[in-house]
Amino acid sequence: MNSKEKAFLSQSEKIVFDPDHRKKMNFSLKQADNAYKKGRLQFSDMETTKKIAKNIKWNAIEHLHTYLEEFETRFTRNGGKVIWAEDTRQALDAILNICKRNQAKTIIKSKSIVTEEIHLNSFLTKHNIEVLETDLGEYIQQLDGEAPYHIVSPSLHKSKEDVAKLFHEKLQVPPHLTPEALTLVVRNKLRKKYPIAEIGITGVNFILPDIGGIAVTENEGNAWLSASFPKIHIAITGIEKVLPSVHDLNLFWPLLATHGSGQRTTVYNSIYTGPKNQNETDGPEEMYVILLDNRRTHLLSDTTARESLYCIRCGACLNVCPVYKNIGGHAYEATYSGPIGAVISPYLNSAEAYKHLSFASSLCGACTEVCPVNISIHNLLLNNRRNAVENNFVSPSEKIGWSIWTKISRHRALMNWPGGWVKNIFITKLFRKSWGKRRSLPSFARQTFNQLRKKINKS
Amino acid sequence: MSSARKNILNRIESALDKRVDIPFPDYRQTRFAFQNNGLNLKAAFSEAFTALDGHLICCRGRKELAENLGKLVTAQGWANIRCQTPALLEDMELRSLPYINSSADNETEAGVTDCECLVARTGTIVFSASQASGRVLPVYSPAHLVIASADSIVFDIDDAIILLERKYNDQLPSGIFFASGPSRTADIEKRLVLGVHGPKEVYLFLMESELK
Repeated sequence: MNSKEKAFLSQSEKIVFDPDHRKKMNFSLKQADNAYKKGRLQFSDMETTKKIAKNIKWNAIEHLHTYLEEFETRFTRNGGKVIWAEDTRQALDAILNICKRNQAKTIIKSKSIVTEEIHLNSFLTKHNIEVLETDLGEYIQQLDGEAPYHIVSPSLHKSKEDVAKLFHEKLQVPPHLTPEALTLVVRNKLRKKYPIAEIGITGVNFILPDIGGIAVTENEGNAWLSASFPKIHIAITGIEKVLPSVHDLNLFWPLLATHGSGQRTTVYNSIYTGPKNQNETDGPEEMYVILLDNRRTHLLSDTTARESLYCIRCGACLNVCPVYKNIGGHAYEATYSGPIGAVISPYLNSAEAYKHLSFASSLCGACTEVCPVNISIHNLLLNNRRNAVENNFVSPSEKIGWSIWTKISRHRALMNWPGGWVKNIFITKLFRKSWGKRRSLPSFARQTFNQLRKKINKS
Repeated sequence: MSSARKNILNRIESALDKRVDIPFPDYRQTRFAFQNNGLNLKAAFSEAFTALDGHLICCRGRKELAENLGKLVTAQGWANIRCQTPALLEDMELRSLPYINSSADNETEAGVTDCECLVARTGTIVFSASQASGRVLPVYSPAHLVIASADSIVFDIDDAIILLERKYNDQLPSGIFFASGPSRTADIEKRLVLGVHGPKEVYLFLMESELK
């Protein structure tokens, strides 16, 4: 068992039996579920829509290089600059170079999981550059020194009392503020920062090759502000975020909104095609889009797992997952948690270190059922399990156990030969540990069904 | 960095040597993925926009617009409303109103702009960086007042995109913004709070006839 797996088991064990955590998660996720049920009413036929959406993402991914090159050509023509980054190091260096060239001291940032993936904030802080998360949930998490708990709702696990306490301690505001008052605190603080920040960094929800632009989805207005006030706008994205056309937004914006937050569309959906045009009033003088690979091409080369690149990061599979609900977002120790995180983390990081996430699933299929682009997530979990076994990433005793099991179940005589008690000793020895201490192993009957039947037929 | 580009594109191409078949060959893209409540454009917009906590004020002509603006400004106690749109200042005669651009101070209580168009199905107001109001004013104003013509309502998001592509001859503005109601969050216990970073209130003055 590797260290990641050990940490995963001990952390989830702890959190599963924490009644306070369970209460908060149940409350928040129930609200998310109610909103989703309302939001989905805008679709006339959700199942058909998901299939169409999957076809569109299939097209985007099967022609990925063509679309990325088309995006680069047009975006460059619009005055923007594309930066290709093979890995974390190249992406960080590129951002640091832009900061240094412009002597940037303050960066305002809207939500981007890719920046979590490359640990941008700690990197820039190390270089004495102040990075301010502007999304309310991200702001709360940054203040608390914690990674996001959920890809859409970063502070999902905190009650309003928790947030009030945190603000009181860190920002010296009065205790017991309401969510409205807490929001106002952040609003007032950050409104002063937008005009003075030299650089704004945003994520990307969709890359639009046909117009050479990117689309950003949000509710608060912080991404729009981050892309408007500073003289430099950097947008960072995984290479897979492509939609073939700007006209696909008509479907994908509502699809993302409904599955992410239960809305028809989010409050703000913006398209950026480059820096400020000559005849425009305001806007950044320079705009960069960083296209990050970071082993996504590794995922692309596996034809079974490839469809996980269709993911639009709505977070719906986390909301419905019984495992996520109970162990929360931090136990995974991965940037991408929940079912989709369990699928892609072994590819984006190391297969050996993250394979255990695919085993921590009841395979109930709720993730697959809710996925807006019809990714068969639970099948991909099974695929990961098979890969883990083929690559010998599972314990030797489990492997030996299953090979003996296979041999015996293929031969009737071998199955009937030992008595029930022999079999019970055998499976206890081999599977006791992996079965876990909270449930008892099934026990074998003294005689097999086959033996009993023979006996009855004789008499 | 150009080697990164080459390496990534090479890796993509070699990964795509093995193709995956289209998942659902019988399913074609359709524009009719959404429920249609059968309302006309104005009624549909009004319903969706109001549901998003937007304030809709219908006006017949400039006189009524000035009256309604005055009423709102008095009720809110606003003294300085920013407007940088010549079409509104001159043609709609906003310049003559005492509370418009009354001080050069950047701290205004509200901003007034026009828009590119309105989307009925989602209650969305569409802005672009090519408008004189630019990128910042519509989102940084504590309250946002929009003056739009009822003739500018289109049905869905894509109708707005097509309209912009035609208007700008495929040389799109550097920023296009689809704003649906006031800024909101549900980041604390999923509880709805209005006015996080963008406007807390959005007022739409819908002109019954053409703007000009």
